Amino acid sequence: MNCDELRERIVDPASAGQGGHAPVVEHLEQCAACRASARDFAAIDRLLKPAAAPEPPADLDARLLQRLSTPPANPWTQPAALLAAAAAVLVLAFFAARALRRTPAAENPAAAPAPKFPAASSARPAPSERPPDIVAVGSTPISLDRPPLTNEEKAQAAALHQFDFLNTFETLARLDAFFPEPVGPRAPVPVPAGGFPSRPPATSDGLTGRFLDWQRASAKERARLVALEAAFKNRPEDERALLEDRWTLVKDFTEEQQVGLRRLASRLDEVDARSHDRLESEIRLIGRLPMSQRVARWRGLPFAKPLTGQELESAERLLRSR
Amino acid sequence: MAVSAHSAAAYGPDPGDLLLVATGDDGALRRLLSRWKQPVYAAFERLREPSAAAEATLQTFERLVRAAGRFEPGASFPATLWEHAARVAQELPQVQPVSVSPARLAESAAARTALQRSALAALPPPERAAFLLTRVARLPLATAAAALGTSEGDVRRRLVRALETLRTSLRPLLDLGVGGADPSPDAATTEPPPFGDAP
Repeated sequence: MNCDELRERIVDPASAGQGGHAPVVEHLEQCAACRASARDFAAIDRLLKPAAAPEPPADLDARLLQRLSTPPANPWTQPAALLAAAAAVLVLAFFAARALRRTPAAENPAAAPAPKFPAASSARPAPSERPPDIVAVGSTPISLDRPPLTNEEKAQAAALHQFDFLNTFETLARLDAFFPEPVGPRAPVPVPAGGFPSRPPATSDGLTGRFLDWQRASAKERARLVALEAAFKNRPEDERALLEDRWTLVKDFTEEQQVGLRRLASRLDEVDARSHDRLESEIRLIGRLPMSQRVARWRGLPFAKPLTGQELESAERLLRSR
Repeated sequence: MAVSAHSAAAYGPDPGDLLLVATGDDGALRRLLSRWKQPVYAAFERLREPSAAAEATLQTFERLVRAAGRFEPGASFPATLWEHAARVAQELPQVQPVSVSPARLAESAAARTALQRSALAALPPPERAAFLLTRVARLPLATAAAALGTSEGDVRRRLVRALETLRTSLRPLLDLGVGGADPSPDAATTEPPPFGDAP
């Protein structure tokens, strides 16, 4: 068995054992490169397996029905396509009139008429264009054109809490209902050994990463983070510890779950004050239930019914994390 | 072909419901969605951010419905559904993997997610589709091959190429041990066989 054959075997669990494991094991014992590949293939597999199955948006069914209730756009009625088609017809007519009998859209399922489905009354209008992707601003490559940081800039950057924390703590303060105790005076939260993970970077690697982030941050972004740091420091000490403690629960949430938390906080803000108190009590009670009962009880709340899949997933992960 | 609910049921829940969908049966479409929208969305969500993943899911089901009239009784429903999903996945634009510093990857789950998505979206379309169906949607190789209209051997070769590319683009994460990779040289002889999880 050569290296190519081995790699084609190990990418499929069903075929890895065909013909016995012995040749696979024998090759792996002798080939360090394939051992490294096998180890990395397995790690990639685990890496890309989501911790929790992501749920599609709650309005997906309605959006599909709405889309199916309208006829597909006929590509031959679009202006650009009409011009191109006219030119093509002239050229083709010059060579052979039979070319005009072709029906190019016949093989395109998206252009085929859909069976008639009633549009859901609650459906949102179908978007006419694909929504734009979220741009990972924080992940843009480092520009070598940026000037090096001054000592003053480095000192400013090094003093800031973790940026993800700064972007999240105000949301966490608004999600009191999902935590055992509200933000406010209470017994101090014990600080873990080594400090909260939200604290400014203390290692040389952490500082290096921070300086690189700071170097590529715009002046506006820097000012925003400095203002968030100031707002955080203006809170009473016990509140700060409480929020940092909360962040330890959510810091590993996915990007979508973090967005879901912000949207969930906005939903809670929309509830009137009287209902808000009752809802907060109900959610706190759910948080004290055995883990296996929490999601079902949460989904039974009238407040949870209209939430999107993203909001529900964030809330449920929060409820399960306590 | 006239299809009644009774005769459609004889083909099994998914093929039967797809036959009914071709007749405009709203309930059958909702049943299919309730069973299949989550795995389809979950697969796209590994490739793209949520709103784009939802759009790709919608496109997949829209194509499934519009082509439902050509579905042959007795054909494989998963292969049919994932064939549409694979086409949508292959039509997504190929991007460059994002560049993220190791320090940022270590501290930010969002940065790790962005790197993973961009690495998958950067794969050439045929390899991306094969990887999506087998390693993300966890389809058996035979079903994936049927959905892609190719042989199992070709799917295997695409997978190897995809994984070798991902070894490079995801190297910062693998070095962090995020995927559970053990950097020690003896790890390969002590850990369970790779891909032990059945699809």
